[in-house]
Amino acid sequence: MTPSSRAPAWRRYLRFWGSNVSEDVDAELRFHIEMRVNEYVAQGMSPDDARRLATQRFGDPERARDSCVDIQQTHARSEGRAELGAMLAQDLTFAARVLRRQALPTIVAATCVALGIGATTAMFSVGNTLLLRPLPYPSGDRLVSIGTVRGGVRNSGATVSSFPDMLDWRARERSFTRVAAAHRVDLTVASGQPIRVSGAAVTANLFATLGVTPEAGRLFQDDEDLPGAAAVAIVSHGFAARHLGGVESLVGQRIRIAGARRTIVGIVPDRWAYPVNTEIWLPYGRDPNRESRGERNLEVIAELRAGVSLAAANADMTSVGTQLARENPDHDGNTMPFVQPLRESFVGSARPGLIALASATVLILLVGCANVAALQLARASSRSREIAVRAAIGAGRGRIIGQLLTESVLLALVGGVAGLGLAFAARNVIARAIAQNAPPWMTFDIDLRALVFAMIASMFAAIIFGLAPALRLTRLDPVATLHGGRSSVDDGGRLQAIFVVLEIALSVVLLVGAGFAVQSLLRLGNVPLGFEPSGVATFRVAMQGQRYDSPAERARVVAALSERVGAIPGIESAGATTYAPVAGCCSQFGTTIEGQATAPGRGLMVTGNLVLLGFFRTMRIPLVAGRDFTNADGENAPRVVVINETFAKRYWPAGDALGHRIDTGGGMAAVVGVVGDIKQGRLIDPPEPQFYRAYAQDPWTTVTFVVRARSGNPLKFAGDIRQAARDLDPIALPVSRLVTLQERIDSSISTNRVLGRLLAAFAVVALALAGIGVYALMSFVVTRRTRELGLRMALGAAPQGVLMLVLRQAATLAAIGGALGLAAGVLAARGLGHVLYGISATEPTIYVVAALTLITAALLASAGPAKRASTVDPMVALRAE
Amino acid sequence: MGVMAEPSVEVLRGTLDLLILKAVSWAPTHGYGVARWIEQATSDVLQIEEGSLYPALHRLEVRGWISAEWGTSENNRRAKFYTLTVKGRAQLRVEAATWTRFAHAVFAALEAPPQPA
Repeated sequence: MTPSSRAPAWRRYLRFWGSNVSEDVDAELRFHIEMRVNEYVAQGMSPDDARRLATQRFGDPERARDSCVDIQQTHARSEGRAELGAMLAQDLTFAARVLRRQALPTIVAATCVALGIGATTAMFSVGNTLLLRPLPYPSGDRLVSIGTVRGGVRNSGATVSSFPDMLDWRARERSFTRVAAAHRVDLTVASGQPIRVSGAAVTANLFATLGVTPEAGRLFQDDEDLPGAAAVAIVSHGFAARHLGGVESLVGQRIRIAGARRTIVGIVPDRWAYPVNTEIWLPYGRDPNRESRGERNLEVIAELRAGVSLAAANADMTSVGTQLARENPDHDGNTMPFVQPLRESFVGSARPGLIALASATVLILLVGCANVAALQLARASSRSREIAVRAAIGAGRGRIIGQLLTESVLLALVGGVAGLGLAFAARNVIARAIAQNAPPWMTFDIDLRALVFAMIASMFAAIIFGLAPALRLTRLDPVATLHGGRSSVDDGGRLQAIFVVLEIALSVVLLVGAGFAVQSLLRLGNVPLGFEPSGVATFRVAMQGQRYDSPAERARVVAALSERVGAIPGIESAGATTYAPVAGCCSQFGTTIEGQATAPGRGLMVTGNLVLLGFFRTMRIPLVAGRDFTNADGENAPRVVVINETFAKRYWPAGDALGHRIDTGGGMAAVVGVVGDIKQGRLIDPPEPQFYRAYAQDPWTTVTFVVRARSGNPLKFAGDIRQAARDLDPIALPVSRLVTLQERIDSSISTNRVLGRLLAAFAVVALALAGIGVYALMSFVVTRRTRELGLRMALGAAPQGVLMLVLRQAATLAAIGGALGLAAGVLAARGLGHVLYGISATEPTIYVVAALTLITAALLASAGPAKRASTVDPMVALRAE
Repeated sequence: MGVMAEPSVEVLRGTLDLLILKAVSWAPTHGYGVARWIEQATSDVLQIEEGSLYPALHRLEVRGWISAEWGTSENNRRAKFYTLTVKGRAQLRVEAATWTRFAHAVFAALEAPPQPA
């Protein structure tokens, strides 16, 4: 117990961090005993006796010590909690004050964050719906769709399987509890005005596979899909409510569907409709022995057996497919089934767009963060003195970093809340861009998960842009800062420059992406269509019911309707075809060419249409050789065919196609004419061989009419057109999908258009942010170098020289950032290639334009600071500081 | 001091706090000083148990009735000095009054004439 054993004096300061209570108590008790010893010694006792007596008098020092320490520590803990709360409150108040005081930088920074958080959150909510939220069907994520790969093309849509194939799959597979199929078909429902309804002919177990229960009535019974079963139907709730006057007592009623009376046996909720948007379900009801394996009109779903993995199901179906290919080489020879989650059939096509936009939004968020970090760093230089003062009066580094991060977090939260607003507005735009055919249950709400995401993203952003300035500021030496002005915080803005370079690079990536998207749009706008869409409307007519069982009657009605529509005053001409051009694709026919051999088992498949007289004229498709169809090409006349230029050139390179004969099913037909190529399917696809046959010689039940108005919008004749159809058949000839041809074309490229717009918007935002970043950096640099610049001018440097000095620095940054951005841009463009039509990643112009745009923006942004630098008054500058 | 056999009165519970508050009410005083003052002021009648003095001091400090500060003692040692706070002074007044009333009451009871049964 000698004084030398005492802790060094500096240890006392550790008490600010709440540590050595026990050491203090020991010191206190020791002092007491010492004093008592001194007292006894003064009374004449020997030191040993005095110590013994003093210790004895004190009692149990251990117990006293322990209870003192306990009292102090209990107190310290509760005090600590209160202090932490007070500290947080203090930090928040201070942060709010700082942010309010610097309103403009705060608004700019919060806007940066808001844009980033808004875009990413909107994107997240879309992705959340597409990829994370469970499917609405009770069987949920055990549902799979079975698709097929035919000749290298994966298909999981409406034309996967034929009825006999599907039955064989069902009989041989071991992976599923149920395999169900649906054939989509438009149905005419006559209940008052005839209407066209999306329907499906389904196997009886479809709803059981989905796990659906009826809202009223019952589902199909097991044998109801056999040929000759009772005529029944199930309708959706929405259909019942809209067209049948409500769902009350509807079960048991009979309505006329596709020309036959059927009894409604059940009603199912809309959200469970499968295929999506189906309103009426009929039992499939066909005889498998009378169906061809080549007639692939079914989509197939199944429910995985418990414990069976997707991979196992795939292996199972592959072996089934291999057997079938061996047994039916003609039809199944190059067809192989595969299994994928049902979700894929809803989102599969949206995935590339989702990835492209998700990447773009993350880039925007990063640009925003880099920008805020750069702004904060610039502000940091003006705050170094404040921080130094706070450090000097005893604030620890952790405390100051905490304070600065509180500011960042507050900023991020303000930005995050604004961003949520943006996300709310933007989510549907984004959703429409990438998932146009979204089923109705896919609502793109900002749900709890999206809120949590926005929260986390904001915090993440706050840390990204807040930590660097905080660490930087607190590393400075208070003494030097207080003495020497700002010098100690300063590394010439290098860290800030790094952020700005990063920002520029990211912006270039976005610019490149936007460039490609816009280029893709421009290309699509200029694609030669092969016909003239302006002024043309198209509509569909389907003939169902007994009257139309006769081909001759169909041919007569279609010809009559075309004639009546063509005679409407203001209509220039009318015609008809089976599938309208552009996204109305297609029917393919096995074709043989007389005198030209095709490899066995690899029949030539050619896209074909059955057209009515007037089609080529109405579409203004040029006749290249031979003749158009005439009225003479009727039912009993010799079969004739018109082919397109590509067909003619490919198979008769000598140019003598006319007069040769081809068989597209139904016998040999003579080539009587050659017409120009048109875009039958997607705009980007190169022209393929195509043929046209006379409708009268093979009258299908479904026809698309084309109508050209003399001037103006052809849809103004909609009423006249519907009336013409009603005049011909008041109950069973509904006109559906009446749109302009231009609308069809536009909607076929709507993904491109919306993606293009969004990416362009993102790029503009990024460009603006990068501009702000460069401006802030250069302002900071100029301010910092005022003295040096003044000195240069005092020594005779010309103002232009100083101007160039600053601009050169900005240009260097832009060049470095631009180079990095271009490298990343190549990758981005390659990714976009999967989403957008007609772009190739090796397109130098776009890279050059993107880089030049950015460098120009950087120079413009630094023009202000540079001008300021060149007008520095040497005398003022040298006197400063 | 040395005469340990002399009979002493044990300090009543709760009285120690009062005595401590009184002891530090003039000037900052360390624990030993508090103990000494109590002994001297009561002519060594009240011998406080030193082992319980310090927990009492810390309890009062935590309650905010006295405040503590490290300083240098009269013999140049580092010592912890306690000072009465404003809150402590109020507490001292209240407790002193209570104690005085208590003491008067006990006295009165002891001085009272024998009561007829």
